Amino acid sequence: MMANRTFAASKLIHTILLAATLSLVLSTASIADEIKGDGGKVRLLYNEPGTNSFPPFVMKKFALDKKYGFELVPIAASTSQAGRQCTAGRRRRRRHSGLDHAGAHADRRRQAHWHRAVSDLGEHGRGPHRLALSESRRSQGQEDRHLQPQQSRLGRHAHPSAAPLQGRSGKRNDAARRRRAAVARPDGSRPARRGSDVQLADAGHGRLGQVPRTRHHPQPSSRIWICPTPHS
Amino acid sequence: MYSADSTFAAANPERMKAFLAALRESIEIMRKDDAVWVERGNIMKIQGQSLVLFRDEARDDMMMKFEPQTEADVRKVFSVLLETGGSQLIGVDALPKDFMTLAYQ
Repeated sequence: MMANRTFAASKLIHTILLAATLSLVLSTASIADEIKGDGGKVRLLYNEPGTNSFPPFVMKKFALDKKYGFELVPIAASTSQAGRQCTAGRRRRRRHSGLDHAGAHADRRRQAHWHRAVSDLGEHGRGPHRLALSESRRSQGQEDRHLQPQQSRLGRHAHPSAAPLQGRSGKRNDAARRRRAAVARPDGSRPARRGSDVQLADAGHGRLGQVPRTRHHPQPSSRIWICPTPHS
Repeated sequence: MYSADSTFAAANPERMKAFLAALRESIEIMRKDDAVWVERGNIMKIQGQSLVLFRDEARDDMMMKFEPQTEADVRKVFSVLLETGGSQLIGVDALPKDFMTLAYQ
């Protein structure tokens, strides 16, 4: 008799649990059926070391974006606090890696000076380093095989990226350089190299600047709060 | 707070609603599932007792949606801050007329 009661009680509990689980699954499924996106992208900024990095992580892990019919594109961005930490870390790394205060390697800084010197010499000018090299070779009775007449004009050898201080050569680099030159902007600046941290931000003044890896998005005209963050 | 470009939100209401639904479900998961905290904590280099403290505090603070009185509460807090610190410290003189919505929840 006692055994029968125990069996009946356990069966009842099992049935209740099963029903509760089923109702939970059905309610979640019905919400997902009811709310469905159009399949477009939602670009979500989040702070990598912050609490608000959890929701995009969970959404991706459980594919909630697919479930609700949109594509989540998490974009790591820094808050002002994280920015200070990053800046401090970057300063430390610069000290140990030979970068200057602008985040530029010394050879790139020399390139900037080279570019300014070439610009001062005009369209047909040669940089001081190459002029010195050329004069030195002539004085030694050697042919300057590296400086053919057509190459001494403002072209591949006049550009700072072709300066000998950079220590780069080869067809691949030349092709990339030509591509960058082909898309030079009206103000004379050139787009950043892909994947690089630094570029010649203002060649006219010979300054080097830090450029972000991400593209600049236009500032929206107005923003509206749609929901609290999990940690707000 | 999560904010969206008002033009984008008005043009894509279904996507906004879908995002917020996914957000609510992700919060439900974070409230129940300890494993996601461990997994994400490893990435963030938060482990052990620190992770437990962090998780419990964050779970208590989690809000899933705005309540009808939330905007009034925010405006009240802002008025106290403005009175105490002044507009120069806060950076603005007043909150915009429409700055939060319950439309997509």
